Amino acid sequence: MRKLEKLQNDSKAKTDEKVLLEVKNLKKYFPIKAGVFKRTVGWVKAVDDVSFFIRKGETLGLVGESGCGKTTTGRTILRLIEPTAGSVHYNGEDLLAMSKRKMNKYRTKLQMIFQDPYGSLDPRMRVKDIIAEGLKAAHIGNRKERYEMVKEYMEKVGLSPLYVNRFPHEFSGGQRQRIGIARALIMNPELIVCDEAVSALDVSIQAQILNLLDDLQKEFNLTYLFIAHDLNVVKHISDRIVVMYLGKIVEIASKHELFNNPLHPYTKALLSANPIPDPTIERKDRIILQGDVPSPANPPKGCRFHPRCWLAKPVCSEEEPPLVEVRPDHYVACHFWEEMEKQN
Amino acid sequence: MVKDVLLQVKNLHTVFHTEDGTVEAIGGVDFEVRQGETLGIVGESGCGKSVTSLSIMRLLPKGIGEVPQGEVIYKGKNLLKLSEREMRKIRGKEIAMIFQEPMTALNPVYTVGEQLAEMVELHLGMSKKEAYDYAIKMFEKVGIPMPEKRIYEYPHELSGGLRQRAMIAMMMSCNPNLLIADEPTTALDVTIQAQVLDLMRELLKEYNSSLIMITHDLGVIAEMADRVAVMYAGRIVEYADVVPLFKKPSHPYTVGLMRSIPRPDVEVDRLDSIKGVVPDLFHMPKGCRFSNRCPYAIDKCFEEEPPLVEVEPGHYTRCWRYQEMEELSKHWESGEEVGKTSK
Amino acid sequence: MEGFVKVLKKLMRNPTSIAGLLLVLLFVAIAILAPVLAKPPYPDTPYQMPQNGWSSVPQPPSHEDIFGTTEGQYDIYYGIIWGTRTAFKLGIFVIGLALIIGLFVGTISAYFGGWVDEVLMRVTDIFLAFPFLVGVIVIVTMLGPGLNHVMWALVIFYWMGYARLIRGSVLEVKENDYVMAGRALGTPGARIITRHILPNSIYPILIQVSMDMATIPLTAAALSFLGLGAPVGYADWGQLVSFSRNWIISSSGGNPFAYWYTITYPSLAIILYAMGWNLLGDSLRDILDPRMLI
Repeated sequence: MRKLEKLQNDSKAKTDEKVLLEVKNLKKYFPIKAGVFKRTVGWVKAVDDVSFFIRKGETLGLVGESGCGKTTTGRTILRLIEPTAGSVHYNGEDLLAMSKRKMNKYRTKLQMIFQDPYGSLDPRMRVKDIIAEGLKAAHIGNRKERYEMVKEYMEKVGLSPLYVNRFPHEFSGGQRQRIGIARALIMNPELIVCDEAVSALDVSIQAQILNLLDDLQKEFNLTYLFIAHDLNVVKHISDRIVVMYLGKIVEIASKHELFNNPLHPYTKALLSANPIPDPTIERKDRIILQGDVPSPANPPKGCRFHPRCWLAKPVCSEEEPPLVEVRPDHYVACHFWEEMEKQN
Repeated sequence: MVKDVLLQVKNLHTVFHTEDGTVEAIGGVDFEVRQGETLGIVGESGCGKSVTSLSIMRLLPKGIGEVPQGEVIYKGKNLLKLSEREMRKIRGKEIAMIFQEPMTALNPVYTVGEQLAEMVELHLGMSKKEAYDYAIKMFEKVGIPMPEKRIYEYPHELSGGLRQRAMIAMMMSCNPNLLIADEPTTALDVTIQAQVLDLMRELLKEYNSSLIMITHDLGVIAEMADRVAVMYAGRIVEYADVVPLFKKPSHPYTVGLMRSIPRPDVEVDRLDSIKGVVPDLFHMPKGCRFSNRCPYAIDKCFEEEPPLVEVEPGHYTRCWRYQEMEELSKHWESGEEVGKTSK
Repeated sequence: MEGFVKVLKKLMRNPTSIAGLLLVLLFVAIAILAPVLAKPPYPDTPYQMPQNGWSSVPQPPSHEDIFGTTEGQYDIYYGIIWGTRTAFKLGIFVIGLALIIGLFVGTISAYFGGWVDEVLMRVTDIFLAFPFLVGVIVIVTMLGPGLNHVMWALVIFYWMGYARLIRGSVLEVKENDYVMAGRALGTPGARIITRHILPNSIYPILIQVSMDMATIPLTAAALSFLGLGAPVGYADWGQLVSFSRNWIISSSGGNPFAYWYTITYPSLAIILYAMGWNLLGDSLRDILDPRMLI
């Protein structure tokens, strides 16, 4: 219990920290092309008007099911995909409005860790070249200095520097993910976007990597945007959590607030669907959602969740609820959040 | 109330002949499944859980996988001794299998209805017309909306959740006694997973079928299983009813597994991880296979492999120090290995 | 390098691939050792086959001409030895150049996509619309006969296959996260192509190259046979076969196969050469295709 209090104090302390990254009205539409002349017949609104911010030193979790736009959001922030509209302010400058050349300078400060420990490392490059790739691109150090740095950072992520000359296929999944982390870390970044960084790993290895990320955050004062579909992992590592559904943010809150007092029906359903590894817990109040997630190419009108929502009223299918701060640091996009609060 | 034993696996061994030599994928697996009960097999990748199910179904890749030793007794018959023809009658009708990715298990060039109908025509001897009506009924039962339309769709036209439902409809259509589900919800989102698990529970109850649920997810196990077998590196390391297993795990691997997952109901500052990696099949440690990752290993563990012993009635474990486990498991040395990775 | 060693090890396990490899190595050795195996009488023009007289009737193998002579008394042995060099020259030049064009077009097309892809692929389609042999013959006729012209004509109608193959391969490789990771690290586009994309998409092309090393000399031989290839007397397998045209079955009574050596030796060279590359390509396909290297 004391631990819990301590954690709550921790996250309180972080609310005073300054905002490091602010995403405003971010949109990314992918065209749907058809026919001989590749005419655009529609748009997949993968990310549709998303706004949130990340404070310095915190971990912001971004959860949602497949197709909700969480990965696209992460990639758009780093301009790995060019956004359709919106702004991303980092230390007061808009990353999305920069020239590509200038953006490349900022890339050292904003790094990414990828999901697939197999696909994200070039199979034909040696570990030393993989880890030094960013340094080389940014013209940091000479060959010798880079080599020394690579060895130093391999040690930091728990890899033996003796392996610098090996190829990725000689490593296990967890070790590969460490290589990916070293590659990001060596750039001395402020923010790291972790895109499903532990989803592909076995549970025992997953814990190793989560602990490593935790240690590195403390040592280097890192800020994480942690994108994942696994609620338990997100809860463990995050200070605050953003929940996305079909390209929209439905709720943002500190993790305790979100888990104890979810104000969006979708959040509540998501939490209740999450299996608990304890066979003695009977879950009578489980909410089982009906139907599938609709296609982001043709999202429902009004609130996007209304066809699956048990609280839905006529207004939900007509008017889209805005994301509003209903409690300090707790944002929700639902017409009936007050009713949800009463139920909780 | 003791239920009848439906399937009994005794001392099952499976080997793989690879280019680099023959390796043992599972060695000496024993368990039983009772009528109407769910057995969970849990373990990480490479532990042999999927190989176990394929060995039971005799679906190992020909010429590569082989079962040199062991028995699979189903209703008094040893499945491993049956002819291929007899086995075909059992597959689908008596024992059905659900795969992780239904897209690969369904034939992309036939409609889902056709595939279901074909199976019931074959096993239940229905006419085409009856089979299609039956397919609609089954689709309705598994909660597929507009079943009379959906049966004419191809697998790729269905969403992941619906595809898994179609797969379940197909597998339940011949009213099998035993269902083997290999990571049936791993590819699905949580809300869809909840739907599918819910559906499986209902169907099992209705048909009084048994289930072997293979998964890496302890949460799913806790919700679905009556009994659990924990596998590690080709061995069952612990085998018990679900509640005692979670309450009093008596193998260090089970302990480590439970401590290393982040849980929604418990808040920890730091996870307890298991050091190192799963050994590969060619380089198994001598003695206990978990010895090189075990925080409690003593000299004996590195020399001699422990047998599976009964700790309490119905609770088996494969550890030399099981008697001290309750005391030992209060402390867990993660041994986070910085700078000295094993390979 | 490590990948290469692995490929070699796998090659060594399969008898057909060993056969292919040995045949190819044999021909490589012949090509390299040509000046030793068949000393050119005029060192300035080694590709010109020496003539032992002017008789229009081929002479059977003798101590002097161990494989016999063709009509016009060209030494068949000399022609086969130096013809090996011609075959390699053709293959390396044509495939090398076609590969460079193909790599360029295919990579640009796939990496940039959009209208660039559209334009480049339509151009490729236009070249593909011509029947290969007819196209080559037209070009050679326009430029005039000669080995160099044949090589250029082959290049013009040969790069499209590579372009398409490379485009497909690059499109596949491009989807890998390590390409995205490279961009996230600020690696410039050109470096991503040379560092990440090309090394990973080149393997399927190796198979095609091996197969084509067999095809190209065959095509050139066909053109030489038609009289469109090398000038008269140039050491070239196609020309040797073309010389034997009238002597395959003897028309002057007696033993109908009296001049067997005129067709047998050159054909054998062509067949073994093509077989070697084909076997090698086939086994490369088996080895590389399941992506066992990764």
